[in-house]
Amino acid sequence: MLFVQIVNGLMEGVMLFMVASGLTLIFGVSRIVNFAHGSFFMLGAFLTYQFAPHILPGTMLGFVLTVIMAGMLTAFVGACFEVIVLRRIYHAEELLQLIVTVGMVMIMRDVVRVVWGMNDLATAIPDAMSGAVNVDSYWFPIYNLGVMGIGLLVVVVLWAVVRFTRVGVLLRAATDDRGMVALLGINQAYIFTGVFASGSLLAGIAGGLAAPLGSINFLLDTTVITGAFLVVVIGGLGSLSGAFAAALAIGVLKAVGVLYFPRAAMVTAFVIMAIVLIVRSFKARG
Amino acid sequence: MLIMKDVWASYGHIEALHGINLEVHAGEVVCLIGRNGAGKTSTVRAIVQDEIRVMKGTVEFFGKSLVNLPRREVIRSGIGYVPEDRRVFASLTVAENLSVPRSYGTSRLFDLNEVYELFPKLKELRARVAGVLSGGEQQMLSIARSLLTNPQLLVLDEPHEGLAPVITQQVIAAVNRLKSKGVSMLISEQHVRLIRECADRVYVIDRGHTVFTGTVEELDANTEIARKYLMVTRDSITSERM
Repeated sequence: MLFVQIVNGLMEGVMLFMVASGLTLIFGVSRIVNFAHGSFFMLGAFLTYQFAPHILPGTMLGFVLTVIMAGMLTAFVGACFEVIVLRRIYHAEELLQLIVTVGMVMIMRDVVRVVWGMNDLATAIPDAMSGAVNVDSYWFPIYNLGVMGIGLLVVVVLWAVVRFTRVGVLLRAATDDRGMVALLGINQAYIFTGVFASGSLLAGIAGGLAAPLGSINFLLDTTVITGAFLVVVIGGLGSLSGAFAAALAIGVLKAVGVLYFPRAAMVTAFVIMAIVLIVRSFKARG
Repeated sequence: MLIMKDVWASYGHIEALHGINLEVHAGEVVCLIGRNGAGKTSTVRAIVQDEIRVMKGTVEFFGKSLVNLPRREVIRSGIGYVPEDRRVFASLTVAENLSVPRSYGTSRLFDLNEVYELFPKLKELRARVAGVLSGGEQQMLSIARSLLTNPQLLVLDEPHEGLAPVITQQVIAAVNRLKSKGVSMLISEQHVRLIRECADRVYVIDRGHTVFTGTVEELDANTEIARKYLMVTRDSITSERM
């Protein structure tokens, strides 16, 4: 049973990382704490619900295309949000930035309610990915394993882009000192919009992949953002590798925690955060 | 190439410059002298439009006004900037730091090979993360990084700040090599050795405005100004001998 929970936990961890990675990248470069990040996840889920019946329904290819389309549209909305709104407030006070992104949460929630209504919606797991495989006499749903695989692929691609490409170098340079990047003649606007679009893309894809796993409703945003913030804070603001480790740890601890302390599962993550923050503040003091 | 005329500038409501006049001609090395807080860094920042806002006066580079231009446009117009605190990208390797800038100049004098030749130490350290380098090595990296934009004018803000005397020697050597390559430089500097060995002309700044312009010899001849503003630097000579 423990084995099953660990695998489930890892899957949840990978999903959590897909959302949290975007959040931490955006914070690293723009120093904006983007509360609307969960809303992009939600939008990805709703768009997947919307497109799924029209793009080769039931097939694996159709589902992949659906999720990619949902992700791309979410990325477009994210990029518009950055270009139209956030770009004007990078130098503003943090509180103001916070209010703006929280405002975006409200707007997205209302848009979703107007377009898709108040009821829980659901989209089916594509036929090609339904069923389960038997590993060591335990049954694992194929879809969940597939999601974990896709998630890991995203992690590898993201890591390679950040580590080896010029875009990745600029992104890390901007996270270190964005003013200096401008003082070397680089146009930061592209970096900011690019990071925001990529972060939203990841959130949208994660939302799309999560869509068949539970009900889709207008409260998804807050559920997701809480977990993502936990990961980002534990992993260190702006750190991708930290976020990856934190996401897996939280996923597994929550899943295993359910076995032993079923009522305290959610608390576990917050306890870890508290411990990490306390230890870190001691370290900072030396 | 660079002309600042009666420049007044401020950080928010705090005025830092009240009438700076300054010129740098092609091929020249010009030093800015002044006590701490006299406005050297502010003058340099008023050129690259970093943090400070020019309220009055003109800053022109080859006849083009730089006032209120975005920082990246100032750099792209051919000015390389090495800030006071070096500002290397600490989590990037040396090689990655050097891959950030693009060349904007027409001269293409400096490419990666050229820069490694100028600072061989950087080639040795190229796989090292910049954050762990010594102050002097970071200073070399910051200069090298800026050179890769192929600037027509290199602006260095207090390149000796916080460096050991041995390193100072290396920075002076680097400035001289750049000078021999025909790179024009504006250096905000307290260090008397560098001023004497490299500077074609000096400007003395006090309380946000220019109080003296001339060659090093003219500055020495002007006993009143020399006594008033080179006091600090004379001290540093004696401390160096000790």
